Amino acid sequence: MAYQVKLPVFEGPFDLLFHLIQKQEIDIWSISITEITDQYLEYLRAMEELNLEIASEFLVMAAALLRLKSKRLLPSSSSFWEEEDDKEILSIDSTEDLIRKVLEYRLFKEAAFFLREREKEQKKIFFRSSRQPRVYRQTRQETIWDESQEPEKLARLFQQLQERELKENTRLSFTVTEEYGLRQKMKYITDRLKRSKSPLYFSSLLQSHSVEEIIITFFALLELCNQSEARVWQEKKFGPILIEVKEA
Amino acid sequence: MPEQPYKSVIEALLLVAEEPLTPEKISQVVEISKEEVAGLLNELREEYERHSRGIRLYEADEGYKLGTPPELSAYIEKLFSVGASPTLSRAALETLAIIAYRQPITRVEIDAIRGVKGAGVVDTLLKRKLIQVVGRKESPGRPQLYGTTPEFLKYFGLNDIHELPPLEKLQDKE
Repeated sequence: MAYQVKLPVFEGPFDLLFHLIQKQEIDIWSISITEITDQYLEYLRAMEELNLEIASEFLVMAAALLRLKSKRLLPSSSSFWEEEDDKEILSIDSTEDLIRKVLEYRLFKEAAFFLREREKEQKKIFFRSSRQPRVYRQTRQETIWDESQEPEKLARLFQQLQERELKENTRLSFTVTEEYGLRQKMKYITDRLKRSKSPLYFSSLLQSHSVEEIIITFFALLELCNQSEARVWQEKKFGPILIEVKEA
Repeated sequence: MPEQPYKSVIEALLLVAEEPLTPEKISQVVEISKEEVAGLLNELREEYERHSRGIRLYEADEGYKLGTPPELSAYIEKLFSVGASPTLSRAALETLAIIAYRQPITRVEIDAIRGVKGAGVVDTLLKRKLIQVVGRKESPGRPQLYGTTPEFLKYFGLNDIHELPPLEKLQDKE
């Protein structure tokens, strides 16, 4: 990636509006709806340029702001505004109404912050309860066998564990973890490509077809493309992925 | 039963109890008055803090229980070989805050304050039992009303919903 642009993330349109108003460093009640609308739209445009998905609520708010802005330009008696306001989530009647809503949102944002602090503090306290020892047992994981050892040893271990389970009347759980390193996978793909005369199918690179393996293989492939080591294409949309060595 | 120093009796009870102990319960078992219990609990609390013990006395759910000091959390996490447990999302906390202060409240009213349709958030909070349906609003469609649960108080270490700071006070911070 050549460069990265960071845009602050907002929980919703009110969050963004409060940020914009705060940036102006003026009394919230004296904001200019025109200015705020322009800045709001500018932010959405920046999001668009970065190909960020804009939640519909932000667009609804943009429409509400534009409506407020244009309302000021038209005589208030105009029958144009008489039509029934549909009870949408964002029905904003005036700038004051908008400010009230932004301020109200702001209060709950503060309250959420208070809760976050409490949560953080609470998570650090542990109590003696019937639940915790169980967690303790469950999470004591150790690797007792891996591929480098004899398969017979695994069989023996399994038998021992089963006996222990019977004797201690406990339940033991087993997790088999597959580990794929990105580097290993990249090397595996380049080796395969070098040996092969014809393009390879993506699926032929998979051994276990687990989700983890598919993801890491795909990552490895992207990395190889990025390093101009491989060329990847599809014959048709959603067709199988074909890979070949990229000639230097 | 031979007579024992009341304070150590209370400490022993707190140690073995799995649920918070109310002063009433303690006073029944130890056979001293509730006021005496309260005083001894206070002494215990102070002693733990003064001597930097690995134990603290916490009040929760209208009862008392022993727990660990927050500053030791890293060691306990190491013992259980778990990392810090996941926290609630910002959206979830905002929604919870609104429900906590404005309960009983409907989904539409929550959305109006947040300016966002948060359909999934309410469901998540329901599932985690941090909120519950407390009734229905007598308005078209009779929408469900939500409120916080005892689990909510426990999660945030509050004894009572009134321990939340008043909203106006939060505003003063500006």
